Amino acid sequence: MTGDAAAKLVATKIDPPQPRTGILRRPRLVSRLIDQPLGRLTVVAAPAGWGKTSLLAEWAGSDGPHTRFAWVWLDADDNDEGLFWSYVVEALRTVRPNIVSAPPDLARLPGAVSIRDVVPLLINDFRKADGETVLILDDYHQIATRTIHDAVSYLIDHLPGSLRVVIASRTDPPLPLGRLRAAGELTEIRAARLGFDEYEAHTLLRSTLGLDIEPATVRQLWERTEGWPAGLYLAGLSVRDRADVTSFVEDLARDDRNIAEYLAEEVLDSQEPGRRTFLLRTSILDRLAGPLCDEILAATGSQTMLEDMERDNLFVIPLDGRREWFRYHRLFGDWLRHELALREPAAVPELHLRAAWWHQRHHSYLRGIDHALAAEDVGLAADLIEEHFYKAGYGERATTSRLAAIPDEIAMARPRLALARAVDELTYGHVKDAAHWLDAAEQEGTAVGESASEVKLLMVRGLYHRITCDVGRAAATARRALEAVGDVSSREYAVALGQFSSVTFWESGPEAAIPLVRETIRRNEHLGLADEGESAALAFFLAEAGDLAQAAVAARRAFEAVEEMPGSFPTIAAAHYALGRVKAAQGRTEEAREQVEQGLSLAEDHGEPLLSAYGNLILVDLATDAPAARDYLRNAGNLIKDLPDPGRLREWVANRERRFSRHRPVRTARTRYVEELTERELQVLRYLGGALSQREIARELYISHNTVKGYVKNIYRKLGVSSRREALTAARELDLL
Amino acid sequence: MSSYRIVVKDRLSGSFAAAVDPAMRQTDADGRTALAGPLVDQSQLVGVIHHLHDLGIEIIGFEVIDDESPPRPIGGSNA
Repeated sequence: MTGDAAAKLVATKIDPPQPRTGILRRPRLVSRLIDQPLGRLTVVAAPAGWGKTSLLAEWAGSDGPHTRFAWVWLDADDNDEGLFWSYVVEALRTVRPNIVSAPPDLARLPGAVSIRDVVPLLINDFRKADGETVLILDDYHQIATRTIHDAVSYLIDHLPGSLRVVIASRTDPPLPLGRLRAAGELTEIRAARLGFDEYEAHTLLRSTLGLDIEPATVRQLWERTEGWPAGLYLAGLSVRDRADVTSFVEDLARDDRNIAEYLAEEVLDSQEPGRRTFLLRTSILDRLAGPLCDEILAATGSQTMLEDMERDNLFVIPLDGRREWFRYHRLFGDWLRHELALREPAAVPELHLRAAWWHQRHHSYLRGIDHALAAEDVGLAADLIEEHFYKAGYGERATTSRLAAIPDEIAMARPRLALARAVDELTYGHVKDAAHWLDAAEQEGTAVGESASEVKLLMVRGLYHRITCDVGRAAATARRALEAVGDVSSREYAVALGQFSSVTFWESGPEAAIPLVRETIRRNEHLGLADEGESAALAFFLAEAGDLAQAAVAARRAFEAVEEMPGSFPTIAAAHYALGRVKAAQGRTEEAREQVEQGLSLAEDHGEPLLSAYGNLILVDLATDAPAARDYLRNAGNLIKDLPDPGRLREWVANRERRFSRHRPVRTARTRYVEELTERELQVLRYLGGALSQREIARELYISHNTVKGYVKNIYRKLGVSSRREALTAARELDLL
Repeated sequence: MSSYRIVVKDRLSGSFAAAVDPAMRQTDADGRTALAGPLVDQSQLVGVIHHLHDLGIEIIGFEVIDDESPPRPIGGSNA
């Protein structure tokens, strides 16, 4: 197998189902999906083996040319929001490349893109689209993350007419189904409708599986299985090679044993021993490939075995057209695992270990970690997490739950693992926990003397100081990291330089930072790395240094870099600031202010106190009246007052404070100057007239609670009021409502 | 830790419970099987229910039993 076979596995996440033999066509059900209007949401909910995926695959294969189907096969790893939405965007983009904009790397370091913005952008993309697109989320029962459910729910509520969502699940999805049902917006297909009627049972057994079987016998099987498709299918496989079909089915009909268990055993035991062992032992794999099966069985010929079993309709489903990856039908696979646990419990850990080693060799670490954990080999799991962390770079995610599976005392004693924990905690904004793990990584690191991890350690420590706004330490650490990188042409050096240039601005001001960020951009270009963040930073530094012409060029470059991508980029906040300065210099004050406010709300949303404080300072400079300026100045002061070391910001705030204490203007009575409200502020103002709380407004507008608070504060300030009620009264007086 | 009893439709083979959890016992009555045993918490209980659901086994009854007495026959009043 080629080295990137494991990588191709990811592509099978969004490929439509491969054509299969031995599947009964269901024109009756498919025509319901094609011919009648669907609700916003279609739910296909039934336990295993009721033919949910088969039905959807047949629909996708037979609908008209104007309907396209985007398929996402979900598994437990997709509980990571970034992964979930990147698969959804990628699946939609594959079938509608002209509609859906190129996806940003959502699965990378969080904070690079706000996931929250992806859904509104998708909705926007489809608002102007022709033709119908159906998004199929298969195996949705694997999803347990509340925020994913919330965002899916939001998507459904705001769905444009050209997009439909279909969810296939073993359990009802925790979405507001009742509300959709009441509104006639829910199409439901459940077990009762998925079940075969007697005629379909007949067709399956006689035509599809080619059995010579009496109608009365078909009827007995149909009644005994209650139309359960997988049961009928298993029954068909059990009687396939029997001479005594009639008496077998009569016994079965009289027997009160659970039909699935009985038939699964029956099908398994009727296989020749080699194949039986293969089925049982490979059942620990959720995806099968010939070489992988060879490895865990210490045998050869697995590829042929898989292809033969697919031909024999033995619940082996190909995942790609080249027959490289397969999986068992879920129900059958679950029964196989159950039987394995009963028949060979002692073999299970060994099988998982071998699977873990195979995945380790093929760099598919996440699956390797899962198998190591299933084998209860914590040491191997820890090794694999470290390899994953070091080889995949610290942007790679979906390891949180796996990191948590390693006991703390083991992680504490392993510097690389402790560092991985620190990065994970930083990712989720758990600064205190991150500090704890960083300390552990540093102590153990010096004791063991692992120089290979020193650069990474310094970079993470630098990031930690930057996030906690400890500017002096962040700059010192970034400088050390830069010195520790041996190879100045490496990617690592470019990243370290980027960190250093950004923190230099806060430590020393724009003049010192400009040459550093220019050098970072040059290196990034050379390495082919995206540099919207650096361009934005350069624009900002240039503007603050007074070089507005060059600042405008750099800002434009930053905006162009992200133009094609959905999502908002906190890194772009600085470019908005730069553009604000440029526009202010051109006398376009209102536009200038809007730019800065936009940048400010990005900075606030992503928890950037330094950048937020600076945004307020620019607004001080742009303010047309003293009270407003004072408010911004107070905001800036509040933002930095509890920070460990805000660098030169303290001095920049103090300079402006001095300016205002010298010109204290006399307040004029009753001449209420009303600054114009922005579009967004007007929108929020209209919501304030309703019954929703600020938190509910935030949810409705799909922005953070803090952002709403910011808007409300602005509204109050502009209207010169201090409560919601006063704001509404003032707004009515001014005809704003 | 509480003890639970889950009754499923149809009869399962005698070794079924062992593959679900070693602490589970099973009894048959009236063509049905009851799985009973102590479970650590709700998460483990939901895990067992998922296991049954994944195998396509229909759950028709469920109760919490605080005493450790063997499960009563199911279905008839006092068969």
